[in-house]
Amino acid sequence: MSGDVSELTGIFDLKPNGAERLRKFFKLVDGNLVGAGQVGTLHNMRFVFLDNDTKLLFATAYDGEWDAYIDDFATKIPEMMDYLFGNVEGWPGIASPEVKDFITKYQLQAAAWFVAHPDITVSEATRLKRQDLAVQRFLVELN
Amino acid sequence: MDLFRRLRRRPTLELDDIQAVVLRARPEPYFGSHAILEIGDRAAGQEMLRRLAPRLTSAAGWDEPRPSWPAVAISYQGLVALGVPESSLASFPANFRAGMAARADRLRDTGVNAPKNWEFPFGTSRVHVAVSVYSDNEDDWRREVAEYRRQLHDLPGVNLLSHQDFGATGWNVFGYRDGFSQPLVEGSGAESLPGDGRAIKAGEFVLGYPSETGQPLGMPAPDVLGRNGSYVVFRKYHSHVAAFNKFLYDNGHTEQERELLAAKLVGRWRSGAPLALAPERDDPAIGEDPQRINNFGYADDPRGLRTPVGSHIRRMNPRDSKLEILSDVNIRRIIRRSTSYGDPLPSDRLRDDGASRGLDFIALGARAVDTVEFLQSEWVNSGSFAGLGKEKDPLISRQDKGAYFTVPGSPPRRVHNIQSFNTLLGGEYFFLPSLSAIRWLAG
Ligand code: HEM
Repeated sequence: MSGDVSELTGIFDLKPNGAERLRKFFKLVDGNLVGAGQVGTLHNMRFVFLDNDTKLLFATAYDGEWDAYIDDFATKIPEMMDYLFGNVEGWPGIASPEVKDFITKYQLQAAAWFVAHPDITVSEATRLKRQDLAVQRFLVELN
Repeated sequence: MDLFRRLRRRPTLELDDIQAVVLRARPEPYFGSHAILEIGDRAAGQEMLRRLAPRLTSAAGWDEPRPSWPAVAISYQGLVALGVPESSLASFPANFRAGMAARADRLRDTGVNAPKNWEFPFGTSRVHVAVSVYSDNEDDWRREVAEYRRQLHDLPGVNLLSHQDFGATGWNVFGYRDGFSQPLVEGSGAESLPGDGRAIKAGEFVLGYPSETGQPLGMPAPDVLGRNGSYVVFRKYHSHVAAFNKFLYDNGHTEQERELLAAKLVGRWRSGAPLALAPERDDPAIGEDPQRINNFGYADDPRGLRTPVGSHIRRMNPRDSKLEILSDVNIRRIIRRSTSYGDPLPSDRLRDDGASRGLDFIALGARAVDTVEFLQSEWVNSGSFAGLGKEKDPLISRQDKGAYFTVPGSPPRRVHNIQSFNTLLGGEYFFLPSLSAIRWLAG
């Protein structure tokens, strides 16, 4: 963790045709997972296929501890989570008691990483943008 | 007991196997004790459970008055001391196995709240069994405690490490009525009261039943050990009531201003009446009325003009508030059986009298350990989930220098120099076995 922001990287084995299914899905959403914006702790997230589409590299930066909201995903967006990660070999299901152990097992330690604003969470950035908008409006009205 | 629910429907849970404390409300007034025991050798530990077993009370008829009832809970180290098989020990969740002290980072128990500053026996591996007695009158409480002492005094392999009495009218040492907002548990047979919303799945509170995921949560093995059990999080706080009173005096010139600020910090007046229903002045009649005391949400108050977004009860149960982070409020509910100890300090006392007083925070649930870790890191010691930046819970966080509390309004008021009004003296994670599991553990 760097300040309030953390990173998680993992390489997972894909099921046969897993890459193909995921590619179709990513194409459908134009490679842009805007839906993930509702999570509110995700700074970014990327999916990369490796080794002839047999492996998936997943990397993300988010606020706080990685497992704090896993249980919320399990009841709020279970279909989305299982749709994405169901293509991974051994995925126990987002609602499974084993899911945290599964992720920990495939997690890779980053040797180094950098965050420009380690104290600015996604929620804080939203608040600052809102505040800036108000200041800009005020300045426009003032002039 | 007027504020509490009645049993009105046919229960579908196995109430006669579940410990009473899960569904039985803390009465008003209440008396009792918490004892922490160490199991020196396995045979003595099992003998202790055999002696306690016939005294245990189930949750059957949980709304009928009873002079007293016990609760028996066992820590991970206690399960080890009882000789529970390795395969069974390994089936408990990792954070429970680690114990509360080892989870200090996640719980944000740092600085004065850190385990190295805790009082004995908390934070040591000797905390094995917690036996609590709840009573609705003083005589039965004393009789019951004397009876436990008699049962256990000739068991040399069991050591009493600490004994703490508690008791109050229903109002805590800060002068607030407490302990009444509780989740409605599906299958318990409890009536629904206005404002409850839908019942929460039984598996969120009792192991072995479907939870909010649709499936039962992970449960320790074998079934006889896990089913109808729950977890307990115990955290003993010392309350700095004089500092709290002084904060009100520093920021309020009249009694009325001080009481309004006191209500803004908690989200309720001391009477229990919520700001959501009594925004400008206290209405003690609402605090006495189970039909009204919880009959509110926050959706019509997004900015927190009535109930501050950062107030204690809005943080701990945001109800229908719009949050910045995707969260399922229905999996963060806990059953609270907290107890106050020591005498309240009147609100005009601004100097600490050095007396021991505070609150034993006691949370029950099938995911109580996860939930309290979540609450501590996300909703108590952070403001991100509600767009409040670094602001923390005004009542139970450890405040940094220069901390403040925002009372929303036009313009909002930033109340500076808020202090840590409660410091942690220690705590532990316990498993709350079913009655059949206690017999199984007794061997
Ligand atoms: C010394 C410590 C504490 C004091 C003095 C305190 C005080 C209060 C008071 C006065 C209420 C409102 C009445 C009620 O429903 O009980 C309340 C509610 C609540 N508190 Fe605390 N509390 C303390 C610690 C905690 C802790 C450590 C947690 C959780 C980590 C917590 C969670 C809650 C919850 C969930 C509610 C109910 C909110 C609702 O359903 O609207 N409290 N507390």
